Amino acid sequence: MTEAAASPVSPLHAPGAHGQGESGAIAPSRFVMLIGVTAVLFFLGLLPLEAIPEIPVDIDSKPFFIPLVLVALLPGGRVGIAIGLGVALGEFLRDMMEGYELDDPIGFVGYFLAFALTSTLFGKQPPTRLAILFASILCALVQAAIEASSFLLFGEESLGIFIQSTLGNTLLHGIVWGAIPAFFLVPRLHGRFEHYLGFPTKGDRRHIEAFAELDSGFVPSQNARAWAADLQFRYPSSAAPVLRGISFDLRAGEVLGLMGTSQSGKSTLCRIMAGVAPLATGGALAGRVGLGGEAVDIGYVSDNPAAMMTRTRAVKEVEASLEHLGLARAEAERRALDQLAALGIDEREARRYIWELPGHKQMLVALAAAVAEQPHVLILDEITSGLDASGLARVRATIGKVTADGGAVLLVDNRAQRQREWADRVLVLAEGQVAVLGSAEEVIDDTARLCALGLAHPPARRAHDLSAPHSGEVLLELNDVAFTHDPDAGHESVEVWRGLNLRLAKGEVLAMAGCNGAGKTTLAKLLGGLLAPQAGTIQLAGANEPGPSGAAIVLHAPSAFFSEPCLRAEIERSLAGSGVEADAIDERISQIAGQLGLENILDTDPGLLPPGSARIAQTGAMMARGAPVLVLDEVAPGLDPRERTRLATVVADFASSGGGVIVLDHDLDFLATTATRVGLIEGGRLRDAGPPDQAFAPDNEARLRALDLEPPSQIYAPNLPQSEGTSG
Amino acid sequence: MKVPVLNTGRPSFWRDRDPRVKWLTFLLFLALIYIAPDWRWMAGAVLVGAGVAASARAPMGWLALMLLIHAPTILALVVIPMLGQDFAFNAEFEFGLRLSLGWIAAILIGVGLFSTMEIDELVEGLSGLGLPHGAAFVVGYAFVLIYLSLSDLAQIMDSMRLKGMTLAANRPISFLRNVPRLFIPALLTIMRRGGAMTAALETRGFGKTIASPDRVALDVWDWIVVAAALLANTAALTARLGLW
Repeated sequence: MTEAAASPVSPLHAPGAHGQGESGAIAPSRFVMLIGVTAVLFFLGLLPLEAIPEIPVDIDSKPFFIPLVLVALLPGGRVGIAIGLGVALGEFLRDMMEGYELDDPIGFVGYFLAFALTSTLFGKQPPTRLAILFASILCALVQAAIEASSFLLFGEESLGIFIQSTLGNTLLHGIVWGAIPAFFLVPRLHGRFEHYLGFPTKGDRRHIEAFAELDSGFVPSQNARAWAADLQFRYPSSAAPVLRGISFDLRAGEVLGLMGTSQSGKSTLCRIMAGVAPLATGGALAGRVGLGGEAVDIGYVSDNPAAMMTRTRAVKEVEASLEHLGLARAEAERRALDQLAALGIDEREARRYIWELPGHKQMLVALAAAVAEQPHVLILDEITSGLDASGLARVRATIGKVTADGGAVLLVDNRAQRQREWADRVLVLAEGQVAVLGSAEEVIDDTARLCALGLAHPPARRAHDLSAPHSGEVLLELNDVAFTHDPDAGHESVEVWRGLNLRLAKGEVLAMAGCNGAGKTTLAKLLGGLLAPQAGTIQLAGANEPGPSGAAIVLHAPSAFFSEPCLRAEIERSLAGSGVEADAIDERISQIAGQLGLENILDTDPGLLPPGSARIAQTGAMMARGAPVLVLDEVAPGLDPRERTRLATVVADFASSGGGVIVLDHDLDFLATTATRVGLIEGGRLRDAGPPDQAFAPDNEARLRALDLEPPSQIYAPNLPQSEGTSG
Repeated sequence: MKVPVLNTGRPSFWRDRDPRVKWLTFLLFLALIYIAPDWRWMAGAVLVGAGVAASARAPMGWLALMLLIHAPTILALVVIPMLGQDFAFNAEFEFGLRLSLGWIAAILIGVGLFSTMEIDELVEGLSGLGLPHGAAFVVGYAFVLIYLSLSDLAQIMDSMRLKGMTLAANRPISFLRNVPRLFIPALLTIMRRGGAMTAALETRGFGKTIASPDRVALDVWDWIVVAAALLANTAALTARLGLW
């Protein structure tokens, strides 16, 4: 056992660590994050109103309600100082884009003082309307007086304008742009903002209740790079612990696979091992977490790569990590480019703005930045599910380099076949506890146990018996559709689709398989009317005019989808738009929830759902629109096997009831269990590959690999019983 | 989505200047506006600002829009004293003119100089002028967040359109009704980013000792620009103090 591993106190987390102490102290990185988030919110706050030419909104009007909501919901202390600095920074950034005004330099000081002071006075109080009103007026008065005092620098002649400006801005910002919108927003965001930022809800003391200490007597192995013993964790806004008594070690040179159904605690465990929970998330931690040595570095890639970017360009992101190693800039840039090239990102892409890269490339940039620092422990949280075959091969090679250098890798992936091939050992979590820990062969080959843990599931029935004829009635028809991205819209000028012809009949489930960048999302947007084809026509059955309106499109970004405070309201809104009678709405919601297994989360904030559940919920909300055609764009990645089976069953039911479905994905396992017909996307065209048994037959493997697609695995064991409620 | 960024990327005289020099020029120019004694100085500042914006090849459409938006304030500063309204600057027209010209000059110089800088240059410039690296980093980091959030906003708007909600600016009532449905997910998306952002900062070495960037020595033109800015401020101060 190494010295550090033997130490009773972990070097990574102190026992009983909290994200925020009772004194209000927060970690520097969290302080910076709060400044950044406040600045961005303040900066963007007035964009919607500035977009309406008919409303005479002065661009100088300030969205005071944004920091007011933060002051109302978050604790004071240093958090208040961060809010004050964030508002000042947000104003500074707006001025950099819009031009400076004469009262701005002193105005920045006014913003900081006003909100830091208000947060100190009102930060500890629950957000009552009276408190919001007082806070709003006080804030506006302090800020307006300080800002207007800058006129006095020009001479005493401006005393009149100082008084008018102070009174006018106090009323305008304190009431119109402060208290009134805050009255509307605070109740809607209460409990949500705090959760996202990892703070307890005011007045809720559950977050500081102590855990009963556990002592399983766990001893990490001699060569442990990192370890956890009797780990318990609870988020600040949750009564129930997410992790309960987890013990394991991560050994030098090994890949430890981490599996578990949705909400089993995988991502939370990754965050704790990476040292970012409870520091970044808030919450209470008990147990011990340690590193196998003083100088052990940890690399971490979350399942949300865009959120991990701190620089504007891909190469700079990696370069920054290398500069931490003390490399000179030129050398750091050269190595960063090499690192990115090894992950399939060429120099031209490396120098692009990060938001111009597609999601899978952002994921690879995040991985490159994480490995650039040569970590001894690499934690990868569900990064593989969104990658095609070549992306996976590159990730595997990267993992191989880390383990060859004596590092250890914690790999979250629910694909049993992949864990069997990539991992040395596999840890399975169930309801926050260790369900199984053993060698990859031992864990993965026990199909019955995996099935019981919800990690292997029999296939759902397909929409049709393949021999049964379709009705022939065409629901959707595309003729010679061509689309090339406009370089002015932030893309390269690439011809994505050319001469696309497609007919979707009633009862059909058409799988369109393509690698990353093949044009799947572009097609979904064309079908949803978000993009217009440059040539050809898209015709939906029943529509008077050519055009795509009327299809239900599920894009692969659930976080951008939900706008209602609970899932029930989200589905209700879709139903109301589809013409369902008001008295039938409740029954229809129950029906959809039952179909998709959403009954227990109907009253949950959909923004708080884990990615897999969120995709299912998004599908349910779009299905409620009653459209005859359903288009699913990469919804399978990240779903656990039970969720995949449920979704496949829903697709089958939708098609059986007379609808038509297009499933766009690179996950051939999912396509194999859902499709009645398969098309392969090849060079901007769709090639008919026949039914799945033919398209994914072993003798077609070379063709699939040539298209960068990983052939379906055999995890859907043929001897498993058929899925509940399905028939052949 | 094409995210509107500050930097135009166009080659220009100002593009080639050291970021420290650009920041210093901007700060000295702002100081000049406060120091300058009368409207004639401000008229000169407007001319210099226009020259900087033109030589920086600043986006003229954007600049015109910003001036247009600020037009009511700028005009009010001149027109109200002209109408003899003594509540504003004791009805002194010249004082109002000085303020309004200063207002225009500040906009011209700000948009002109900042349109020539990458975010990393902004950070390096601030850091090079002595701002603690952590504070300079926050400025750049906030810009990254803004750009990423604008990109998120485009996705949210796509989702809204797929749900049948429109945000047509020419239909104000429907627009206002639907704005919260855009606004709340946008707020929550930025919030959700918070945790991952902190994680990124922690694991990418925020707070670790950062090697000083290799600073390039200022060239002749950099020195000339700084000298000119200092000279202008000195002249304005002596004039303000009645020494010249």
